[in-house]
Formats: sequence, structure tokens, C-alpha cells
Amino acid sequence: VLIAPTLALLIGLGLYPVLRVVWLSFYRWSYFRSAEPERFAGLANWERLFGDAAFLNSLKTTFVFLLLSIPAELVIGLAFALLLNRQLMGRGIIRSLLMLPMMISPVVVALIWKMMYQSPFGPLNAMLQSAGIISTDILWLSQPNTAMAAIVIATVWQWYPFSFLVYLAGLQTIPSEELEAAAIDGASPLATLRYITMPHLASFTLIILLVRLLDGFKTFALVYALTGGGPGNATNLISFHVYRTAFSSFNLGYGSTLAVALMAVILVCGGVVIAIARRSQASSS
Amino acid sequence: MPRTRTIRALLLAIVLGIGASTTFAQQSWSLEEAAEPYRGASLTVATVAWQGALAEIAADFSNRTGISVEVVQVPRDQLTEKALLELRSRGTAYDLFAFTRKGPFVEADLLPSLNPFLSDPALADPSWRADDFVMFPTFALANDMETVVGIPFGAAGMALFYRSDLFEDPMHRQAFQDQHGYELAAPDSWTEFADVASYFDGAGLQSFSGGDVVGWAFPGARGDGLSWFFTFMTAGVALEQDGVELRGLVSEAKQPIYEPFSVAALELINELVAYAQPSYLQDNDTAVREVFADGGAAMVITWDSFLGRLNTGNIADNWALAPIPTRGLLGGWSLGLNPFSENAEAAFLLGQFISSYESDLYMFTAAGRYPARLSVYESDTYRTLNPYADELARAKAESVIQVSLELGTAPQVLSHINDIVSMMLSGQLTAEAAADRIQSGIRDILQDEF
Repeated sequence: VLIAPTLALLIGLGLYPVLRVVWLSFYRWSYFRSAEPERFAGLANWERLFGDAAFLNSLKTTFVFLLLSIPAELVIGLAFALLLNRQLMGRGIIRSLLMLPMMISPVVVALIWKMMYQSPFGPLNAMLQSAGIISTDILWLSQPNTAMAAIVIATVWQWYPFSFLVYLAGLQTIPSEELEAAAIDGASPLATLRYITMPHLASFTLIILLVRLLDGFKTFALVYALTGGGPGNATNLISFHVYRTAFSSFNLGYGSTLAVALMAVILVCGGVVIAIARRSQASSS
Repeated sequence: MPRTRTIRALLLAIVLGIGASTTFAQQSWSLEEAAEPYRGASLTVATVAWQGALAEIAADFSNRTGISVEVVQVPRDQLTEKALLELRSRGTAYDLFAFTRKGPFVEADLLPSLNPFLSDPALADPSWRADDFVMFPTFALANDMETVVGIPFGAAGMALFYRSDLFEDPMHRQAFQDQHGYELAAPDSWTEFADVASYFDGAGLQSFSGGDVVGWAFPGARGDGLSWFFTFMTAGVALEQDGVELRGLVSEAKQPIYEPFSVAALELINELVAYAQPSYLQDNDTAVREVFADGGAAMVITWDSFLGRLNTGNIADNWALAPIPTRGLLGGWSLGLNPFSENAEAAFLLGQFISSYESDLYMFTAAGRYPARLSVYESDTYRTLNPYADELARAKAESVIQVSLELGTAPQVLSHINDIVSMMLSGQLTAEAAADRIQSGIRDILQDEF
């Protein structure tokens, strides 16, 4: 009885919207035509989904985006964590500064990077040119490949602090005896990293992977503000595609179907990561 | 059928205009008296631009009527979404709102008839005549061509702007003549457009800020601009090939538009982007205007409101304008009344005031928004203020109307065209495949519609 109000609140705020979207996914509903769902469409929306080239393409684009951004976040976060796990002067300040991108609103991040990518006055091209890496400006947001790279770079910049933070916490759980023993045995830093640090950080990696995977599927603001899903549909990530279907075309029935499909994909991917985590936990114990 | 609708529209115009004027002309109608019952009411108008000038008009209205008015500006690409969500939830945040595609609102039954207000002698200004507005049936009448659902609020046309300093330069004139065998001038056809664009694109010229000059500035970013170009280029190709009458065909579209001509139009776009600025895939209409204003393009096709921007900077004395080859695009805004407004009569009076001759002219002089009234276009004041009045009038007279204004699914149709043209431009589809996808997508959308 005591938990009933909390339970009711959780069901009302958490479960009801999900069930409502699932229910709507079986309805034909253009918000232009009607304020209420128009008619039951059976599996028509779902049939359309599996033949919808735009949906399948946005799903593929999202996986490419995740495959490029999450590993980069892991590597950069780990590198900074290893660097700042030592006694350095100003370590506290540097740690705080590194956390900054994660605290900025994604729309602001998009605007910052829009200026960075700008041609011919953007600093990114200027830096790359002065470093001799490129000879002419890259039109970052104009070509499908570079536009995707632009989204990935901005995402990695914003979210590597998360993996940095988790890895830093993970590094501090490694027993100092093991590291000292490795040092006495003359293990190289690379060997220490490979045989002691990384195994200890495996469960932390899975946590980062899970959180960032779930979050990555929901990437919206960066795409909205930086590329609008273009050029073509090169950066039309799934969450942006759902938004456009539901709130630009106002096809709320099919938009709900897309949202449920996205939810299913996230659940499957999340489930796979959790299964891997459990298996690795079982094997290590 | 179109002829019948035109006749009915004309009849309505006569009823609303001449009828009203003859009935009430002798009586003295004043805004102050008409608004007296609504003194103390508060109104909100949602616009997409021109907030400052509109606020001044609203302040004038408030001073005269005692009705307070707030003008809010909503981003252009979000107005339909915001207005629809607001009205669908029976919200009253906006009493009047600007719209450019009436179809979705008419279909959703969210644009109430203004006929009762227009026939109410206490509210209707006898000088407000429907036949004084540009394309009144297109921008203000429901599909039955009898119900007034909008108050015209500006009519915009697209035009070709070009660097007159380059076009008049004897060296370029001679070189162009030698290269193409005819005189360098504002192009009349897309073939000439391609010749001019390719000539200047390869001329090695520098913009005012030192960048390269390209043949033309093209808004190729995924967005409305692509459907605009597709629409008038397809219409242009159709016209060049068949000489068909386009006005009715576009606005009456119940079938995929211009099916036989879209491949040629897309191929034309593909050909012409070779002479556009390298960043065209990320540049929208605002961005290309800046490219041209910096002298970075020999030509640009954009809305006539660009004239306001051209009076400043190095470009000020170095440009001219002409109609778009074959066909341009005519767009416009109207003001709709919120069906749930608690101050509908006051809102109608405000809409009527905003669309009065004086306000319409003021919106042009103060904010560069092009008038909705024919009488303003014909006025000495307008013609004195706008030295390009004749060229723009010609450009507008030869325009096609934005695709499928009256369809409820117009936003989906346009969004679909934008996406597919964008995919073609970024190399993901050939022109033929893009045309096929555009047509099949429109077919699906229309099938859903009807």
C-alpha cells in the first residue's frame, strides 16, 4: 500500500506513454487530418516499415555512427584517464576542464562545431592546413562522408569525458599491490596495461558501452542543428528520422511505428551488451 | 472545372469587394468604433519575420482601439508545426498566425471562415476588397473557392539577381561573345543560364572579400530551397518542351506533378551545380544571399526580399535583377484566425488593419516585405521606392505558384522532394532514379491523402 502512489506514478509516467506509442503504431493517423487516431491499420505500418528504404538507411547510418564514435570515445577517454591517474601538477583543474564538453547542451555543442567546420573562416581547416595535413579546405558539412565525420567528431568531443570519468574511477579500483608487483617483476608499461589494467577495466568498458550505445541511438540535437540529416540522407540518424516523420510530416501513426522499432533495436542492442557483461563476469569469477 | 472555380472566385471577389463597398461606402466606418466593444482585449500575432515593423503597426492599432497586441516571431520552418500543435490542442497562444501553405490547416478544419466577419457591417472595413490582393483565391480561399480562410499578408516572388558590374564589363562582354556567339545579358533560358554560369565560373575572378567568384550561388542544403528549384525548373522544362499552361496544373495537382519533365529538370540541376559555390550542399537561401552580397557569385536566384540586403556593402551599386529563365516561383503569406481565439472579432479587426493599404505599404517601406495588395504595387509611393518595380512585376506575372498549396499533405510532398533532390545532389541517386522516387513518393502521399 505504501508504495502504491510511487508505483502509480511510475506506471503513469513511464509505462503508459510507451504502451500508448505501441498502440498507436497499429493506427493510421495524420495529425493534419485528425486530432485523434483515424482508424486501426493492423500491421500496415509494420509492413511499410520493412520495405521503407529511408528507415533502413537511417538504421544503417546510425550503426555506422555508433561504430565510429563509441570506440573513439573509449580510446580517448582511456588515454586521458591513464594520463590523469598519475600525480600531476594541476591535475584537479585539468580533470575539471576535461569534463566541460559533457556539461554543455548538445545544441551549443552543435553551434560551436558549426563554427569550427565553417569554410573558409573555420579554425579546424586553418589548423589542419597549418599542420600540413590538408592543402585545401575540407567542406565538412557538404559531403556525405565528411558530414558523418563531422557529427562523429562533435559527438566524440562531447562524450569522451564520460568514458574518461568512468575509466578514471575504474583505475582507482585497481589494487596497488598488483601494480607494484608488476613493477618489481620489471613489466613494461604496455604489459602492465595489457595484463593488469585492461582486465580490471573490462566491466567499466561494458558500462560505458551500454550507456553510450543507448544514448547514441537517441542522438538528435547535433544532427538537427549541424546537418539537418543531410547532405542527402547521409546523417539522417534514426531518432532524427522518427522526429521528422512524426513532427514534420505529422504522420503520427507511422512515426509511432518507427519509434517502437527504434525502441526494439535499442533493447536488442542493450540486451546483447548486458549478456556479454554477464558472461564476462561469470568467466572472471 | 478550373474555369468554374475561377468564375466562382471572381464572383466571390465581387460580392466581398464591390458588393461590400457599394453597400457600406456611404456609411462612415471607423476602426475606433468597430473596435469599441473589444476595448481592453489582448491579442497575439505569430509571424515568421518582419517583427519590428509589424509591432509598430500593432502599436498603432492598439493606440486607436485600446486592444493590446503582442507580436511573436517563430522560426519559419517551425511555424506550421507550432501552429498545428497549438490549434490541435485548442490552444489560444496565437489569435492570428501567419501561414504559407493553407492546405494542412484547411484539411484539419483549423482555419475558420472569415465570411461572417466580412459580411458584418460593424466589423468589415468597406475599403477592404478581396480583388485588390495578389492571387487572392490561391492564398486566401478554401478549396471550395467561396470560403475566405486567410487574410493576405505579403506576396513574394523569386527573381534572378546578377552582378551588373561583371555583365556590363566590356572585356567580359567581348569574351562571352567570342565564346558563345551571342551577347552577354541576363539569361532568358536555362541553356543561356548554363552558358553565363560556366563563363563566370571559369573566369578566375575575385569576390569583394578576395574569394573566388562562381557562376551562381545555389541553395543546395536539404531544405525548402530544393523543392522550390525542383518546382520551377520542372515547370520551366515543361514549358520549354510543351508550352503547357502551368498555373492550373500546379495548384490543381492531384497527380504526380510534371512527371515527364522531372528527369530533365533534375539533370539540369545536376549540370548547373557544377558552376555553383563548392559549399552548395550546406548552404541554404540565407547563405547564398551572403555569397552573392560578397560578390562571390555572378548570379543568384532568390526571393525578392533580398533587395533590402543589397543596399549595403560593396554589392550596393553592382547588381541588377531579371525574371528567372522560363518560370519563377510565387509564394505568399496569409494570416489565419485561431478558431479557438477568445477575441475572434478583435483578431479579425487586427488582421484587416494589418492588410490595409497603409499597413501593406508600410511593411514594404519599413521591413522590405513585399505587398499583398495590387493597389500598393501600382502606387506611386511603391514605384518611387522600388526602382525594380517593373522587373519584379514581370517576374511575378510569369511565376508558377508553390506546389500544391491546397493539399493537406503539401508539407509531406515538399519534404519528400527536398530529401530526394538532396540525395541526388550528394551523389546517392541518379537524376532518373531521383525522378522515379519523387514521383512514386508523391503518388504514395497523395494516395494516402485521397
